[in-house]
Parts: sequence; C-alpha cells; structure tokens
Amino acid sequence: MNYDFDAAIFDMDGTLLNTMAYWRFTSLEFLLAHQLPVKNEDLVRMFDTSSRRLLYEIAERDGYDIGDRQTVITELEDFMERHYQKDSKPKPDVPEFLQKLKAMGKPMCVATGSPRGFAKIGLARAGLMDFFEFVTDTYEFGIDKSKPEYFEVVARRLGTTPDRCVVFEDALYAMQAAKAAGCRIVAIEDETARMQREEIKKIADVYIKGYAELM
Amino acid sequence: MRFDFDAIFFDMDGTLIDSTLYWRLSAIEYLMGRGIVPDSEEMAKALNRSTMETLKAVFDRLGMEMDDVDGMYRKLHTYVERHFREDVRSKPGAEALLKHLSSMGKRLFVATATPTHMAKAALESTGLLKYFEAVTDIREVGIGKHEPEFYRRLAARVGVVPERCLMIEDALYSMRSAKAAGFSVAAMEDYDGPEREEITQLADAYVCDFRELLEDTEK
Repeated sequence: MNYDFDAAIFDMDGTLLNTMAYWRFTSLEFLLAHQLPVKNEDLVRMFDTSSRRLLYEIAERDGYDIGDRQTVITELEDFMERHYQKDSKPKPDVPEFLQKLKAMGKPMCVATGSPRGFAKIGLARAGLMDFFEFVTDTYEFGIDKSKPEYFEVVARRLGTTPDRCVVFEDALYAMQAAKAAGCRIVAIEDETARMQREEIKKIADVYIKGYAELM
Repeated sequence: MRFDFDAIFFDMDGTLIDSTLYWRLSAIEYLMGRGIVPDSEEMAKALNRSTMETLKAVFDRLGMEMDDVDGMYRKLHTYVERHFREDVRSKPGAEALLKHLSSMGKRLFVATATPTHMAKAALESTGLLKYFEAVTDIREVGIGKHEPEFYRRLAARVGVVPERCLMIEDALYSMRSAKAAGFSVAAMEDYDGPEREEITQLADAYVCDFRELLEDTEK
C-alpha cells in the first residue's frame, strides 16, 4: 500500500466494526417482533440486502402494513443501538492498524452512514475514539455517501482535498462515490458485500481481506 | 374444550410465547459474534434445523472445531435471554385465555425445558407471569419431558392426580409422555411439521390459536 496521502477517511460499519452484519440482522428481529412469518427465501437474502429494502419487499409481496419509512427506521435503529452497546467489536487488527497510521502522523476521521450517536457508542466500546479527529455521519452534512460531494466535504473538514485522501470502505456504492470524488480506495472485505465482490475488486486501489495484510 | 381440570400446565416456548425462532436464530447471532456470516445455503436451512445443527454445518464448512460446547451454550443463552427480556411476544389470545381461566379459579402452571429464570423473564416481559401459581423447569423436576415420570412428578408437586391435569404443549415428544402419565393434552400448533397427523390423533384437543380455546370456554 502507498502511504503518500494526507488523511484517511474510514467508514465504520463493516470497515472498522463488525456491525454491518448486525444491521442486516435487524430485518429478522423486526419480523419476529411483529410476529410476521419468516420465510426461507427471505432469510437467504438477509445478509445481502439492506434491512429496510428487504422488509418493504416482503411487505409488498405478502400484503403486510409495516408502517411508514420513519417508523421502520426508528425500530431498526432501536435494535441496532442494542447491538452497538452489546455486540459491536472492531474487526481483526483494526486497533493495531490505526496505531500505525497515527504513528505516521496521518489525520483520520470516521464518516458513517449510521447515526453518529451510534457510531460513538460502538467506537467508544471498541476503544477507538481517540484515533479520530472527528466522527461524522450523512445526517450532519445532509448528503449521503452515494454522492461524491460527501467526500469533498469530509476531506475539507480534514483540511485537505479528496485526491489527497484514502477512503477505507466495505460497500460498493460508497466506493463509487469516493472514487468519483478523486479519493483512493482501500476496500475491506465484509461478508455483507459478497454479492458485489468482483465489482469491488475492480474499483478498489487496494483490496484486503483484513488489516493484517497492511501491517 | 371444557376446562374441567384441577391443574392446567402450559409449556412455554412455542406455546405461550412466540420464542421458538429466537432459539433457532441464536445460532446466527453466535456466528456474527465470532465475525462469521452464514452463507445462503446455511441461512436457507437455519429455520428448520436446531441451533447446534446450524453451528455444526458452518463449523464444518470453515474447518473449525466445536471445542468449547459449554461456552457455546452459555453464549447462546445470553442472546436468547436478551430477546426474552426485551423482544418476545405472547401468542395471540394467550393472555385473554389465562385471564379467563384465572377468573374461573383454575390453578395454572408453566412447565418448561427452558431454565426457570429465563422462562420467568419472558413471562414477565409479556405480562403473563402473574397468572401462574408456579413456573418450573426440567432441572427442578429432575427429569426431561420425554419421560412420563416428568408429568407424574408435576402432578405430585401440585397435589393433583394426573387424570385431573391438562397439559397444553406444542412438542409431540412431550405430548406422548404427558398422555402416558394420564394427563389430558391440548396440542398447540406452532409451525408446520410432518408430525401433525400423529398429534391430531394423540391430543384431546388441537388448537391453532388460543382464541379458539377461549371461545370454547364461553360456550
């Protein structure tokens, strides 16, 4: 890996923490809490599909009223808050790798699609908070991670420009936006992105199964 | 069904509480906790296999040994207990039926294979605990539900002859031993299984929903 960059932008779920799988798992917790039938054909897709999308597809197919978008999100976030508090963990070798970048004097931040309140719970539990200049989410800037502008704003806050940043990410859509903004991409393998693995390998400047490869 | 009994025993998982899937799916939570995500084939079978069967299949695929089975069970219990405290729901009509039976002066009990402290957590969080005179598990009774002796001991504990006892249960193996001990049995349907035919023959009543039982008591 080439360390000629000014700053590093880390995604959180699936990149720093093991929490991406738990986000997917909340769709199942939602179905059980609502006493809706769980079908094999839905379970098969659970880890590969966003919770909200899976639930709305099920609701539409089987004719359930699961409530409006905001109610569903709030409920999924309630399950997720518990997972951040009780189940979240750093992915293997994350603290060691962050220590290495810190020793090299690289400013780092976390830019997550999850609410930053949750991010702080998960990062504090993992003992990672002190590595970062700041933790931001997509709500704070009002731009989501599918937009290149998101990475421009985050880079600016780090005092640099996207072409001087490396983005650590597990999700294809965010890699595409970061790439379009001019960032370099380090792709971290996560099982929840297994369906996009070939495309991710194409777009990434570096593809790793785990941080041990960078140590 | 006429509730002409002196003691009515309820199974918990799958009978009073919609908890069967939380047990099955704790296998997935255990794996996530170790940074493992089941593949789609394993997920397709997760509903129809026991927790341990799911874990065994994943471990085999990854070439891992199941070395610490006790630790594994403890962890699985932790996940299930969390859902019992915070997420589980009672079966539709369960509370209305218990309330009705309770107002008729019936003595109500829970007899479960789940550890008593976990059972009480689920019953408490769903508001059902207050209807029961006692909650007991197979460890306290000292024998499993597959033995008629389990049911003889239950009857003796509450001072009622087996012929005046009713067991409401969703698992066939347990219905068999309850019948063998002289109990009457009401079968609760939890999820579809190949055993349905035998269950309908064995049970004195077969119910899909407690609301049907309640209607019967009001006839």
